[in-house]
Amino acid sequence: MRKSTILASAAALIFFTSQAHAYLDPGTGSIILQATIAAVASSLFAVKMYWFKLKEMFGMKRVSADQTDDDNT
Amino acid sequence: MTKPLLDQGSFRDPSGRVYELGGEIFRTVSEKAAEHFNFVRASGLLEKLAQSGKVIATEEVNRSVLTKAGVDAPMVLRHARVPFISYPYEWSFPLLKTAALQHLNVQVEALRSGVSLSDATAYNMQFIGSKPVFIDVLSFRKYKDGEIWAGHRQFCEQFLNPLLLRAFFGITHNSWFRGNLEGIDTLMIARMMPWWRNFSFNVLSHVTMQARLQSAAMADTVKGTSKARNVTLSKLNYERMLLSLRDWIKTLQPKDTGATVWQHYAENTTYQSEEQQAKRRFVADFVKKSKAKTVWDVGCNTGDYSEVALQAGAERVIGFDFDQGALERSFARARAKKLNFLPLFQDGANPSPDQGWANTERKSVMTRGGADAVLALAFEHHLAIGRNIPLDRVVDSLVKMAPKGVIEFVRKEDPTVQQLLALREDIFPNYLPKTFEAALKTRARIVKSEVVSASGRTLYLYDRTK
Repeated sequence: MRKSTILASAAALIFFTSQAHAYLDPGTGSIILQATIAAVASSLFAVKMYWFKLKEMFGMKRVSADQTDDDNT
Repeated sequence: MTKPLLDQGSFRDPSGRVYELGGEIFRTVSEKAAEHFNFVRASGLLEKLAQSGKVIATEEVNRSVLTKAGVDAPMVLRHARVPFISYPYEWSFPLLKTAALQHLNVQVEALRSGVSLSDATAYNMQFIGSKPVFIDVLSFRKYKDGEIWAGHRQFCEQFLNPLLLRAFFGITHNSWFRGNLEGIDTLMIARMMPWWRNFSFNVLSHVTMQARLQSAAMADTVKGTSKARNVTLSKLNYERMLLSLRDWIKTLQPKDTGATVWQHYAENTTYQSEEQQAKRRFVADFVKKSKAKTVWDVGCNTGDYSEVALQAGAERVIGFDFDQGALERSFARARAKKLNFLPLFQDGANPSPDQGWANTERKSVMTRGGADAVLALAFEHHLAIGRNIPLDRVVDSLVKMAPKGVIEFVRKEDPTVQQLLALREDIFPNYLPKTFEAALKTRARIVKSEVVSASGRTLYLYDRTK
């Protein structure tokens, strides 16, 4: 590897860790992943929510995909 | 004047430090962090989350509390004290799962108030009894439009991957997590994943793709980082990512036990033998008279005697066991009956050490201490016979745990000891009641003893305070 490349990668590392006001290195894989999957995950989730609502409408099941209760176990 | 004691585990985030002073817990807030904290407090989020028990109760106090003791800080907070600090490698599956879900609950509520979290470390979750509570209020930051979920990787390593390890492969996370305090590396779990698991979008994305992208970025750091720097995430997608992860985690169950912990628990507790009744009476009487607030139940099994101790007046019980099934039942019991009972994974022959940075970041179980009384029922023989630890040393370690306690001695004639010796040579000629008594007598007063079974199992009540 050339010296300039090493310097550039070091600089890149420093810059990207300062992003998103995080003291934590979020991990390149995780970040790129979020760009890639967020939209898909989000639409899947939306579909699921409508599905649950539909089921609820027909009285099949009383569940909501979105609950912020303490029922954790 | 006593000096504030710096918590050695609170150095990673420069936003603040945790101190203990006069039995109270304080947190300093840096100037930069104070800006965020004030925003979060003004949003009403902290109060709301504290009221529902999701976040530790916090109030601002006069900074002179610490400054006059020599610790300078622009702002000082006081927290309600968590009675016993525990670590994710001491949690059984349901504790880790409960903590993971609560963490996501906190994140979702925060995001809806325009607040995000700067990290997702499992060490920021603690248990008060069986209730998970988030303790690091300085992780809350004002949400910036388009920001990514900075804690995603950490959440995967410290919550998701260890849960998957058990749910998919039947492997408990405790030893691995204790060996690597950052959790279970996504690259590692991706390597274990059979191809067909990728039919699940959750596995495909959070495990396989994340690992691939991480590897690719590591191979070409310049390209990887420049790509990563420009990523933005809409608030809606951010929230839905949290919600879908929460839905997924809710469905995870240990591969080897399933969801029936409860039923077993009910079945097994209907019948009580005479021996159990005698033990319960002895324990209840001891706890009542000792007025112990914090009781450690070493080898707590499913928490029978922990519950007895609570009924007899103990404020809280910290249970320890190395059997995952027993721990899971204990937790189910604590949740169902709303007991102030925290069952933790611990191998008596290899308890949690002081470890992490400078060997002080995470404390050993004995350093954390705090027991007023200890119960060690049907426990000693597992170490003395099962693990070849000299009886004298077993007694020593138990008596060190608390000033008072009840220790059960199980004789060699007992079927459980016979079982332990079934396939091996009996190398314990001195494993005798009189050796046990002698060991106990050199360290404490034997207040009373009672034989509770036909096989001669005996309970000893010791007191080393006078």
